[in-house]
Amino acid sequence: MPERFDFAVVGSGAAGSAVAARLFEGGSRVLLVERGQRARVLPDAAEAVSRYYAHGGLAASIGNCLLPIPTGSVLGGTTTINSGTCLRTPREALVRWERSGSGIFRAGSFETYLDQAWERLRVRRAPEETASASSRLFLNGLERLGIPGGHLLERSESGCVGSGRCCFVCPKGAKLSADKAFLESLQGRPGFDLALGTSLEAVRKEPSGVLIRLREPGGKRREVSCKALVLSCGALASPYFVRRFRLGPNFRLAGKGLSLHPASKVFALFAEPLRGWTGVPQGAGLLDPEDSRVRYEGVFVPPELAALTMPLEGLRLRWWMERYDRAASFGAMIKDRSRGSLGYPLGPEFPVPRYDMLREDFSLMLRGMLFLGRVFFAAGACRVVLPLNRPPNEFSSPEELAAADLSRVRPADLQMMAFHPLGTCGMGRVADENLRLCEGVYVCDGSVVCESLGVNPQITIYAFALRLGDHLLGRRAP
Amino acid sequence: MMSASLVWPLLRAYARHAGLGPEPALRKELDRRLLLSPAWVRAGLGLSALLARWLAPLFLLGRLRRFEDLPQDEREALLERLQQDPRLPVRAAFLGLKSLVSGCCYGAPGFLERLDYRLAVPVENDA
Repeated sequence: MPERFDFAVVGSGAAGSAVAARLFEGGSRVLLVERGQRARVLPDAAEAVSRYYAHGGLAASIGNCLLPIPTGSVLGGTTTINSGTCLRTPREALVRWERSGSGIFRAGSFETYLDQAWERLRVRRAPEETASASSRLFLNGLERLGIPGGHLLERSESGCVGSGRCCFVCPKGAKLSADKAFLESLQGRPGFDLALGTSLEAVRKEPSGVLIRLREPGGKRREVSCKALVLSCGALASPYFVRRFRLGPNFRLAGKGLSLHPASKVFALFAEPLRGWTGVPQGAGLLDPEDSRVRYEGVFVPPELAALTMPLEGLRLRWWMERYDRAASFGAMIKDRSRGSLGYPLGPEFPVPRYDMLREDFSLMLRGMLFLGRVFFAAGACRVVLPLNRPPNEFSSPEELAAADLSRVRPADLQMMAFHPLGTCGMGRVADENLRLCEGVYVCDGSVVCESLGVNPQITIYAFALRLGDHLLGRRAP
Repeated sequence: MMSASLVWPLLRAYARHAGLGPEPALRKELDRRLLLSPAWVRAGLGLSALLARWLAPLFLLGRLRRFEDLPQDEREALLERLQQDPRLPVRAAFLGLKSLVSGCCYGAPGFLERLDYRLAVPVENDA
């Protein structure tokens, strides 16, 4: 006989943890399934990537450019290895979703859930004393250029001391990842079961609800029946289950509509030691004053991983690495109009994203990197490296940078990453406005966000989860 | 470990080229990092190392010599070509290999200490 729960949630990232907590706190018996394990603080960032990033951090999209997509495979999902940055869903996106829907999604109601997530995550502006050298130099460069709008970012943390390791499991436990914010008070309580190291194998609809088959550590099988199943496996994995088990009338569309919010970063060298690995790496930001599709946010990779992220090789790479204590870096992200799709030739463990970057997105990326180069030179940099895999990518003056001929650069020449995959089970396209796929089966994670937001999406995902929790509990939306 | 024996000659030549070492520490770091990787990643890295050592000199430089047997200037040119190659399969294989090889060289405690950076982070809790 299968075990009986009211709800089963698969995936413990932002959405999974939040919806599971909301359901349990509403009086339901909840099973939360997570394929990864609990994270431990590790001394080496490279080891943290190998252990806690999906596919050892090597997942990447293919197409006309190569875009590594780091996501978490650990309790707390990507929130365990992200920067903790919180930016609200742009109001215009909410209004667009409301207007394009059938009246079920309401922007005002969603904003209430954004507020709830904001409070639960104890979001606050990064204290100035925790700002990294890169953030301070960026803000300083903006000031010298007379560009307004640079600001310290808001983050979900409590007691951050600027260890500089947000993306490799916070060593102080200060970053409020999904498991910390939503699950800590639940664990061990009757009616809440957290199944770690467990993967979803099968989903079957039954008259009384949904029957799921799980594989536990050691290969043991477990069958669970529930009133409703929530898939929260992330934008790269959830579409697999939707397609494999034909969940809903639009299951064939799952995996399409992938937006990636492509990002790249610029390195700059300064005369004085900066020790850029201390302080909050993503502590400051700016919306491009001329094009709101470009957002700038801080980033700094610790030295043990830095060589990989530099678009240089051989002796030039060594030259930079020997001076890495004097290096700063800052990133640009593009609210992309390009869309990709997912394939699963080897099953859910190996999603293969296909993504071709449109010319307009590519142009924005070039614009963003040139802007960052200008800001760093204004802040006093003596050398700047753009994220291009081929020359001209290294510049020693703002004049040289301004004269750079980038006309022959193509998307494949860009060194980029994508931290915010969204849209692969878009609300209103694959799932309905209540995030329902079919009777008893729901999806809630980055996949339901049906457009590139242009901001870090975690608060949006949390809000969707809290909203779904209330819907499943039969509560009226605020 | 098979993948380690395939990658090691490349790593040793890469480190000698950039004047990095010492070799026993690099070898230890290589073994450690490979052990952390899933089997499919190790297999891919081993294959990529074979291609980089044997085929890349032939196809990118027209030289019928292994990477480690190339003179200094040609090794440098080959690394630059690999870094700049826009073909995605080549880029993917190169980046995977770079993550391992450059990580071993520039992520080694000896190199990091010169930057006044220490790997050890105080472990205060289980996150």
